[in-house]
Amino acid sequence: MNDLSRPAPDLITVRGLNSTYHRQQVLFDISFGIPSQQITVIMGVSGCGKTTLLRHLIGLKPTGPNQVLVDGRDLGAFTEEELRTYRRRIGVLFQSGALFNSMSVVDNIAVPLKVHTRLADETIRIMALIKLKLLGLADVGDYMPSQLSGGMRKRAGLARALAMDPEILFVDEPSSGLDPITAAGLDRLILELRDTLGMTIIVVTHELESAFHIADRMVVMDRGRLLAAGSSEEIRASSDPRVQQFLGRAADPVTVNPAGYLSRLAGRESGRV
Amino acid sequence: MAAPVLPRKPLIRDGVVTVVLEGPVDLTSVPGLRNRLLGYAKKRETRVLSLDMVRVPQLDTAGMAMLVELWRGLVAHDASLRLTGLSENARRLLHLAGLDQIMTTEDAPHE
Repeated sequence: MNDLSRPAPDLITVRGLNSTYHRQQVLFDISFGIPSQQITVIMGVSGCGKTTLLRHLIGLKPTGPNQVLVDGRDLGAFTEEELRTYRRRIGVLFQSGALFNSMSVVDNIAVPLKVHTRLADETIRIMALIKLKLLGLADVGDYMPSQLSGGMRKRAGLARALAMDPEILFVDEPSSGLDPITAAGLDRLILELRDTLGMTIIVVTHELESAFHIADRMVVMDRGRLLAAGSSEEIRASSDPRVQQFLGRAADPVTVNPAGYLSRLAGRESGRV
Repeated sequence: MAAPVLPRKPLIRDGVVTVVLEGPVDLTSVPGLRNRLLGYAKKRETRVLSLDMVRVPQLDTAGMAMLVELWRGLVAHDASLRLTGLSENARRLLHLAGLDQIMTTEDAPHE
């Protein structure tokens, strides 16, 4: 059982993380910790850098020296073998669910086990059936992904993310495209995974209700910068106006650069007209 | 990397085969463990396969799947699987997976 009265040690530490896309900086000096066996929610409006941060944490995007530490070791300095070992410790549920449409649900869940383990085929099949049972999908193993509802596809994707019994689970926008009841069911599943399996879970979302329901710790981002990090109570009490704006769902004023707009209309590169 | 589980030589008495397992029963150890245990499970002389798991700190889904395979091999000739000394966490996992309905679990004799 998860004991929140004691501070959990950080499994992953982000320390002064910077990131660029095509020479444009998209993350600026991000620092926070991800405690072991707790749920950390990374929040922020679309385009704030949440998914880029996620890509760094799962080792899909190269990271500068000592900017992301896993168990106190520099992820950016991992060898290929160490990266493979790290990836065996993690599961990722992408926003789309990312199931193979040409395979049955049970075969989809079996894919990582066939690729990464020496387990017998029958053992793998039983493992996949157990995962489906744990996620309330026991009767749909032989269905094709196209035959599932959005919520079921998401849970099947989660079953596949859990195929290797990961110690760390990353979930990107779990509620996206789901109705409120299905989304709430997925939140409950995430809480159960923490409580029954002791997983460290990182959820990226912009859904406030879901975030406050599941989070042990929260990280709020804005335009590539970290605005606040702490417990849900600390985030609610934040005096940062941008945090309060986000929590209050207040829209930004629309800003227009008229010179740039006119320049684009004129088919010119620069802002000069 | 988890240390492989090496079953000690089984104790066989009146058709009850008792195997003591040590170490994690997981993705890493199951490939080496499965065939040996299936061998005991499929023997006609085996009436009960009793796994002493008091020294098993971790049981994952691969371990549970192997237990299902053992159970299948045993019920095929009217034998049964008995698990002793399971950790609380392992019991919870077996329950969540619905496996506590098909397998007998007992506390370790010395508990």
